[in-house]
Order: sequence, then structure tokens, then C-alpha cells
Amino acid sequence: MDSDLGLGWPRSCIRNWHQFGLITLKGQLVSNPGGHDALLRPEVYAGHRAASLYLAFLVSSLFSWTGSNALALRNHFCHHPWMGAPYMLLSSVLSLFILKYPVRISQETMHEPLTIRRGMQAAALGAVFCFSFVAVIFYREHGGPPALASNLNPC
Amino acid sequence: MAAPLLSLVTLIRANTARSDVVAMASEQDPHTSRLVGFLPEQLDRSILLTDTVPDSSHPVPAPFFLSPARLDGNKWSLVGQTSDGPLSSLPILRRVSEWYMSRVSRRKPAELLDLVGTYYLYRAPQKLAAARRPSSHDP
Repeated sequence: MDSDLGLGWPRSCIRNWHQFGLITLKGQLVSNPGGHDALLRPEVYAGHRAASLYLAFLVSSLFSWTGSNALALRNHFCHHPWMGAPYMLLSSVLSLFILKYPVRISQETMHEPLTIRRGMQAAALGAVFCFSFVAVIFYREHGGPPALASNLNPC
Repeated sequence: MAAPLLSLVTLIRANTARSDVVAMASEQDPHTSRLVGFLPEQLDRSILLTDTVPDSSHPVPAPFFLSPARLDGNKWSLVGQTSDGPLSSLPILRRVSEWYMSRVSRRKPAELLDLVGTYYLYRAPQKLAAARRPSSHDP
């Protein structure tokens, strides 16, 4: 939820669903700015599945009584790696800190040995960190081919 | 570039209804014609591009007018204007942000909204507002 500052077509789609109805717009990503001609000449965004915004629509519907508006983040699955990877880098580092310094301090956790489960968690986070780092370095062009692939291409 | 855009979004959404049409004049800003292609999606408002600043002889069916400069005279009532944003007082953060956009995310120039300076939102005089484009989709 935001202060009516969501940008781009996801926000327009959700507002159109609220204004005209999800069923009326056939559940499609109708992105007409301001809702103009959304029924007569709907501009359907074809770059994503409409279902990717249903959860954001549901959340905004549930909390609409608060006066808040929907802030739809359309990078749910990190399909723009350069955009999502920095968040994964930060979150993985913070998660590693939690593993090393548990928030809930108890006798058990203080003296808990490095079990296989915790080791696997650390390994998974390390893998996330490495993947994110590689994504940021080599796959950082918005909407374009990976820089690594273009560098390797002799043409 | 994000701070001026958010300031513009705040200005427009706080002072206009979603069904309102906002006019812009291409003679005022050489970048306006390019911005018009991006602004409707960002602002969630319909943008109407005109050649000249609307007046009684050249009315436009839009109740609001967005200008990159102050309008002379008192025909138009100023609704609000954009602010510089928090990064203006922290140039090092602005440079870091610009470095990230150009070197890490490699945003293409066409994807960056060239919003520089201050934008002013005016409400059209009554006689021009009367010619507003009818809409049956008002929320």
C-alpha cells in the first residue's frame, strides 16, 4: 500500500479494476490511463499475465477502507534481475546475520551447534548472494540481452 | 530523476480527479512532446498536447494545464507546483543514483523522464473548463 504514488501500468490496471470491475474488464490488464475509454477501447497490456496482479488487487481491495491505495510491484519473481538482485543481496546478508546472531537469545540457541539444517540455510543464502551478485554484474540491462552474453559474442 | 517524477505525480494526483484531462503545450518545452508519450502511464491521467498555451481563442477540453514555466497574467489559477525533492540538498546521493542508473541498471535515455526544473499546475478559467471533454467514467 502506498500514498497514491504507484507508477506505471500496474497501478493503472488495478485502479481500472476498482473503477470498472474486474469481471467487467474480463480480468485483463486494461491499462488505460485515467480509465479513459477503458470500456470502449481497452488498452490491454500483453507483457504479463493478468494473474500476476490479482494478489495486489485483492490486497488493495481488502484495505481500501483504510484510504490507502495499491502499490503494485511487478517484479515479484525477479524477472528483471538487475532490479531485484540488489534487494536479494541485502536480504541475504541480513538473513545470514540472523543465522549467526539469533534474535531470540536462549540457552538452547546460544549453545546450539552448527547443525546440518542451519548449514543448509547458510549455504542457500550464500547461493542467493552469489546468484544476485552475478545478476547485478552481468545481467543488468533493462529489457536487453545480458551484458555477459553480448561480451562473449564475437560479433 | 525519480524525485522530480514523484513530485509531479504527487502534484497531479492530489489536485486532479482520475478522469481529468491535463493539457500541455509543446511550444513551452522542447521535451514536452517526448514526455507526453510517457506521462499518461506514470501519472494515470490523460494528457492532451497542444501547440500553444490555451486561451479564449484556442480553448482546449481540459480543466488543467501543466506548464514548465509560470504563466503570465491572472487568467489561470495556480493550483500547485512541484518541489525539488530531498535529493536536491544531497548532491552526492543524486550522483550515486545517476551512476546506478547509467552504469548498473543501464537505463536507456528514452526510458528516463527528463524532468528538470519546476512544473506548475494551473486550473483553466471557467469559460475554458466548460469545454471539458465529457466522461462517463468519473469515479
